[in-house]
Amino acid sequence: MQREIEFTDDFKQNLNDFLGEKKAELCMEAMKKQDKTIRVNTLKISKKELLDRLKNKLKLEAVNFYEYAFRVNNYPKEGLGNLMEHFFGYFYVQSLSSMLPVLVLNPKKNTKVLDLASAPGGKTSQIAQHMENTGLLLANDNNYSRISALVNNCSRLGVLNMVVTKRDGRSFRKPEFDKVLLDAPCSGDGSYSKKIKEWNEKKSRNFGELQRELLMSAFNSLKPGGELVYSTCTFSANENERVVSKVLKRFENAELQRIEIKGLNCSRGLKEYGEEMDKCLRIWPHEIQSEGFFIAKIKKVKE
Amino acid sequence: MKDFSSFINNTYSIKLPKNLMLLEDEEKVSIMTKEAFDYKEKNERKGMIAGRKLEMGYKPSTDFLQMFGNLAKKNFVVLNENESLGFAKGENISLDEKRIEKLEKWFLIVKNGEGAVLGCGYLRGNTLENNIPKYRRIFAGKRKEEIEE
Repeated sequence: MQREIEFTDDFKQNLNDFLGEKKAELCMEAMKKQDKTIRVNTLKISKKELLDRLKNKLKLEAVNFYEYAFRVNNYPKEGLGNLMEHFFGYFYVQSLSSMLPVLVLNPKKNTKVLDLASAPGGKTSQIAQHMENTGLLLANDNNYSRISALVNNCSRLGVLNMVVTKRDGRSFRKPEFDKVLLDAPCSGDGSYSKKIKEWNEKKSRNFGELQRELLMSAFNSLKPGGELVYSTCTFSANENERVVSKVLKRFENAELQRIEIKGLNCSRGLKEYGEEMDKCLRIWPHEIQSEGFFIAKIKKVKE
Repeated sequence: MKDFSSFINNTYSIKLPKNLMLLEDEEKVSIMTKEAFDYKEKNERKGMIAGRKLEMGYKPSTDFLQMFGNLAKKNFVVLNENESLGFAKGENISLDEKRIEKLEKWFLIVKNGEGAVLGCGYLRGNTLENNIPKYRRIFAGKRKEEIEE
C-alpha cells in the first residue's frame, strides 16, 4: 500500500544527517510503502489453525525472526479489520517493528509485568500472549480515550491477566516487577505521517525530558535482576540514545544489555552517545519495510 | 439472583476453568487471573468483562462468550455461513420453529458452523436479536488499532 507523506525540510535534513542522502531517500520511499502485517493471537487460536482459515483469503508471508508475524501480500478490499478472523480476535493488525519490543522483553509465564504506556494495546496483548494469560500484567496509560481502545482491543483478543491503571507513568516507583516495557510517547516521525509534518528539533528535545523521567520510573519499578525495554518510533537521538545514556549515568546498577534478534536486518545505536549504545537497535524503514523504531534493553543488576 | 458462575452453569452448562476468578460489582462481572484479582491498588479495570447484571440474571458479554462459549452444552444456536456473516455485521436473524424448540427465551450463545462463537443473541418470538456491541461488529467503521498501531 502506498501512503501520501509530506516530508518537511527539517525532517529530511535530520534523516540525511543520520543516513546520508542516498539511504535517506530509500528510507523515505520505504516509509510510503510500509507492508501490512498481522500477529497471530495464540490466546485464541493456534498458528496452524489460523493459517488454514486464512489460506483462501490472504496471501501471508512468514517473517523469519518472529514466528507469530506475517506480512500480508494482498490487502483485502474489505480491510483486515472486517475479516471474520479479526472479529473472533484470532489476529491483530500490528506493524512488524512494533512487535519487536515485546520480542526483546521476552515476558514469561506467571511473572509480574508492567506496560507503562500501554494504549492502544497491541504490545500489551502481545505481552499477555507471551505470558500465556498467566500472572499479572499491569497496563498503564494516562489518557481515558486511549484506555478505552486498550480495553476494547485486549478484550477482543481474550486478555485475562491484565489490570488497567490510569496514572502518570512518572509516579511508578515500587520495585515489584520482573519486566517493564516503556514504549514511550515520542515525536513519532518513524511512524506517523501526520507527526512527520509536525516534527522539529525543539519538540523532540521536550519529549526527551519526559522520556528520561518515564525511563527512570520504569527502572525504579524493576525488582533487582529485572529487565526493562525502552522503545520509541522516532529517529531522533534526543529521544533515543541520549535518554538511555542519561539514565545509565544516573543509576549505577543499570546495565545496558546487547540485543540480538536472529534474522532481523537492522542497525545499531549511535556510538556518539557512548560506545555501548552499539548494544541498542535502530530499525530503519528501508531495512525492514516497516516503521522506524529504536529499542534498548536495561537490566537492574543486584546492588 | 444466583452468582454468575452458577448462572452460566445452569443456563449454558459452562464450567469455567478453576484457575480464573470472578469479581462482581453492582453492574457487572469480570473474569481474570488470580494475580489480577489480588491486585489491591486503585485501578480502572481488572481482566475482561464477563457479563452485565440484570434483574432476572446476567447478560454474558461478546468477549466472554468468544472465549468460553464453546464450552456450552445447551442454549446455543448454530448459524449457517450467510447468517453468521450477517450476525457479525449486526443483523437480527429469523429462525424457524424447529431451530428454537429446545431454547430458553433468554440470551443465547450464537455460533457458526465451525463452532466458533460469534456472541450473544436474545430470542424474542422467532427472531434472534443481535446483541453484539456496535463497535465490535464488522463493517462498523475504521478501527482504532488500524489508526494507532
